[in-house]
Amino acid sequence: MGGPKEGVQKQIQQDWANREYIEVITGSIKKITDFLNSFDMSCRSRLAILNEKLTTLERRIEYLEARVTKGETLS
Amino acid sequence: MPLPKRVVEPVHVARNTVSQAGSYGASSSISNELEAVTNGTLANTVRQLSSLSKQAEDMFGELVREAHSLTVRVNSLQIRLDRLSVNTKQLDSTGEEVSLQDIHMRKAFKSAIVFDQQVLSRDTMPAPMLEMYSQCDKPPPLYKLNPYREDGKDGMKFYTDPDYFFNLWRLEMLKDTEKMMHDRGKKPHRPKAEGSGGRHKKRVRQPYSTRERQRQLATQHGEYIMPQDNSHYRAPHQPYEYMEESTMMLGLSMNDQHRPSRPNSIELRRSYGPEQLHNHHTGNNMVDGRIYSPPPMNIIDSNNYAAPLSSNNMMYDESNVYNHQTQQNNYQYTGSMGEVISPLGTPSRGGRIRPSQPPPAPPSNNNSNNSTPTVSSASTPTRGRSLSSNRETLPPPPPPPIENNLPFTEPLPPPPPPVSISPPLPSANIPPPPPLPPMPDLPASLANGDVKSPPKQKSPSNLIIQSKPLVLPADCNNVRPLNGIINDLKTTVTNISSGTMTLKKTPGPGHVAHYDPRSDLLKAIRDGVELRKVEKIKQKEGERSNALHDVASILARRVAVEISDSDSASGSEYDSDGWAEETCA
Repeated sequence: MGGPKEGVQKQIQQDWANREYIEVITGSIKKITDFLNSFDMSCRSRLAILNEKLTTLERRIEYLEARVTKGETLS
Repeated sequence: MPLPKRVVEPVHVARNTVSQAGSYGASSSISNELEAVTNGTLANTVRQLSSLSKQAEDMFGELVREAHSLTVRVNSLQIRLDRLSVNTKQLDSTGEEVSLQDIHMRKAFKSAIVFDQQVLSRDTMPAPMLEMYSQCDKPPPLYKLNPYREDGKDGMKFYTDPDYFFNLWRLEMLKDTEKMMHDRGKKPHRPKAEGSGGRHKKRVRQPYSTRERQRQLATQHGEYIMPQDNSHYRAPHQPYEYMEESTMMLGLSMNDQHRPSRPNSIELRRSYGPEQLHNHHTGNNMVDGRIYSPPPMNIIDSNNYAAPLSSNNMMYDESNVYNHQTQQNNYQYTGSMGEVISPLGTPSRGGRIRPSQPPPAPPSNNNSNNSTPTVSSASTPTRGRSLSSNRETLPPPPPPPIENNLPFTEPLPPPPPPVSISPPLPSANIPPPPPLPPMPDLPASLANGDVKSPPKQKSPSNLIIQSKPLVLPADCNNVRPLNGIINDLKTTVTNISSGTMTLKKTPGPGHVAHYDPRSDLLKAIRDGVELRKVEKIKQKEGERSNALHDVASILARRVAVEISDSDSASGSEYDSDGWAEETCA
């Protein structure tokens, strides 16, 4: 009687340990995904801001170039 | 329904691990079930990790690409900046002279910046999203019902139409610009009243005809995942972006005659007209549409079209419709022959016929129009009789006339018109020719001469003369008294002019030459205005089609119109109208 009981208890304890282990792994996976998502979001927002600034800069430079350079004449 | 952009694949890590293990074989093979579950779960976790790494790689790839494009832009900007600084340092205010002439001759500045268009199109869709999208259910194959739709619309558009908002916006913008152009010389206050009136119609969603879809398919075939349906989803882009704009713009041109309501009423067909217009610029579309639509529908359309004639847009369609009518008439008359004739060929013939019809017989026209159905129906029986009688009386003549007739008809587009007029008559007189489509023409002319008043026949007199040898006896038997006098004169002329078959043939082309200018003149007098309008409309459509699908071009044109518009009042009014519209919405 005592032998199988101990065996079952051992198995259950082992199983609990395994589940804890798996929980840690899955939890870290979640963390990774969260980080990836936030990273992606922040990167995109920064890139978007940068893109916006670049666009305005390009326009300004275009304007300045048009101001400075002599435009072609119709003749 | 929101779609997650990226999904890490095995969502339920611990599920089904035991059953999988059990399925492998006897329960004896699994010594420890708990361990099996643990192992399965671990394996799934590893799969999850791999999926996650894949998604992360994809994500970083996107970021890197974007960052790279930014660096490229920054570098180019830096280069431009350096050049600019050098240029500015070289500027010398003292030494430089600018002549007034140069200033005036200077070209206007034109920006080379290209703005992004169709930002949310299928092309710009990120790969993971595309993957998710491809897993979605396809819309039901409603396009298969298109052949059975009598209004010619695309059934798919009732279910989903990604182009809807863009088309809405496009129509509004174009209408606005046109209206502004028109109103420039007129009173500025006009648009307001119109705008308030037509707003209700605007709300109704109206799908576009199949032709549009067909055109898209033809032009951009192969781009899509789904072979036929996809054209609808090709451009999911503009809708949301421009929806607001469109609603704002609605105010001015709200009166949309062409997007009335659901497909139940006649209005549908009327509305159908403009759509046809849009789609018609490409010739193929017409063909497709025609083929698609069942013949009865054409009749209905033509009848309906007659009314809306007043609107300019309709003109183009109407001409087509007219062809249809004539075409159908031909079908009825010729019976089996009509079927043989290709749909494409017949319309053109009908078009030619129409102009030529008027000269010979205004009275005959009425007769034909009124009695066409009855006559045609009646003619069929008579045809058989006449055939037998002709054959009995004149076996030899029939073959030569056929030859003569053929060359005749081919060179002469105008002669066919008599066919349409006379269809009933020919059947009575000349049954043998039926195998040849052109044949009916001659018989028609003959028949007219025989049965109806001689004056009409003057123009076709040549025809009669030629064909006389064949049919004259038969005619004499039937209605000799009517034509007798005239026929005698004609016979004398014919005797002089034509001694043999070959001689007859030669006069044919000569007559043709005579006929053509005549018929053309009459045609021009009769239909000249209409034809020109059609051309104009075609041009307009062409312009529109060019500008239609390009957001930038539409906006540019609009801006140009607005800027050139010296009337500030109209502009402010326009704005206010737009705001009012939006608030109401």
